[in-house]
Amino acid sequence: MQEVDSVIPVPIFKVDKNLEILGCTREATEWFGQPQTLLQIIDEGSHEKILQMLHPSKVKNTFEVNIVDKFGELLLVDCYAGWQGELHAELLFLKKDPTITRVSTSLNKLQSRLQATDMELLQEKEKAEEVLKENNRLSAPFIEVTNELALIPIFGEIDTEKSEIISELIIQNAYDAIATKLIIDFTAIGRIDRDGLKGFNKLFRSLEMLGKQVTVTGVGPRHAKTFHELGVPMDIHFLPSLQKAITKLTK
Amino acid sequence: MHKHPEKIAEFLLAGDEQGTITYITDYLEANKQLSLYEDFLTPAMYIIGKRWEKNEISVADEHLATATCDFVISMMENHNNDASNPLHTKVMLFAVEEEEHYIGLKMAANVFKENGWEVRYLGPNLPLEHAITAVNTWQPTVIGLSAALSYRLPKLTETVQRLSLVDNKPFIVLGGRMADKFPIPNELANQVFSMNNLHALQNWLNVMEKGGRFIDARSG
Repeated sequence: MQEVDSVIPVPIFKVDKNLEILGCTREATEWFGQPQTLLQIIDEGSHEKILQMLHPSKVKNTFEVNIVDKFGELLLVDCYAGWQGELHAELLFLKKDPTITRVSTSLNKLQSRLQATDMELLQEKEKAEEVLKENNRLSAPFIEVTNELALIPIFGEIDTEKSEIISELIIQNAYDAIATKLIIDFTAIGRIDRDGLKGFNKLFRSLEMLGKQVTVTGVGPRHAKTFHELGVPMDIHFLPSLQKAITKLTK
Repeated sequence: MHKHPEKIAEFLLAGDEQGTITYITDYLEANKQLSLYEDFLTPAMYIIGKRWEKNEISVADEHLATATCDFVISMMENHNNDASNPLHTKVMLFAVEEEEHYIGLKMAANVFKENGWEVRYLGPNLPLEHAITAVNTWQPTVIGLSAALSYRLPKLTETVQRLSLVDNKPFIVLGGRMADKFPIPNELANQVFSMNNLHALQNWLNVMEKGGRFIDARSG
């Protein structure tokens, strides 16, 4: 391969119409080693482009192309090409303005930071959900008062999800316990939605099937109406206060 | 053949995210996320690639279009999705080391979300060791891997090999332009699958679910 003589310190290649390399400058050898054909140093995603752009019919042309240097590094460069007749072309590669590279590197960094923050938020959200679940599970402790009697105070606001979680828990605990009389205390319940109440209704029926006698205490006026509309199972007793229930059931 | 992708390509190249969203909203049927990706955005991005090849735009333009497309995908994500996930299936998605193409991966992540899956999207260029640690900690049902350039094939091969060996034996789904070119070894034919578009991914999810191939992640 002949050395192309140029005083300008940039990689310049001389190629034939099949893109075989006929010669190049010293800078070209420093960048790319000793490639046989031009396609060897062009990123495969740019092959189609260089075949279209580096064509005798274009005479003189400027375009962007991705090149692969002798270390296998991919680099975007500007290519200036011109044909000497139909048979030979000369082309030179110029690195992109470093400010562009700098800007795009910073953009990439910003993007990864957003990505990382996104991931952290997601993990925090999952943690919060775990805490909420745990909190839900702790909202219906099963307290065995005597061999016969167990007390289940329920805490906090009740929605569908929470009523499902605590129902499951209460049924399991009731099944495992010997106590047959259960007091479910509503005193510490804040807001309860209609679906949550429906969930409780199901819970009462399930407890009856387990042969438990259920007494509900502390029902507020807002809940009473809905309970009534929903139709509570006949065998469920309501008493206004926990005190009355305990007195009655431990007699 | 409608002209939507050409129009969208223009909006994206102009960095006009609001224009893109308005345009798409006018034509997209409600709740057709797959169509948003396959009929609108992907073909538009493909046109943009072609326009670079024709020397009509620069790489800088492409970057702007990609960032705009990324933004549009985030904005048009279906946030009211209430698909249930009784099996607690989980997917982790990332692109192999040095691979910077991520738009397709992000779309795939959203397809999983639409199907009710729990999704961890780890983005492009994830070092293999990080990936393995993450997989061991989180135990995904499926790993979504993407590679666009053929230089990544060796890395992709290594990644698939290593990930196929982790304890919970996750399914591995390959996407990106290299998915088709990746020779899946015979012994991994039941574990590794390649998808060349998102419809294929949706079909695969349907078939696997019907076939009872996703077992409850909690009991696994």
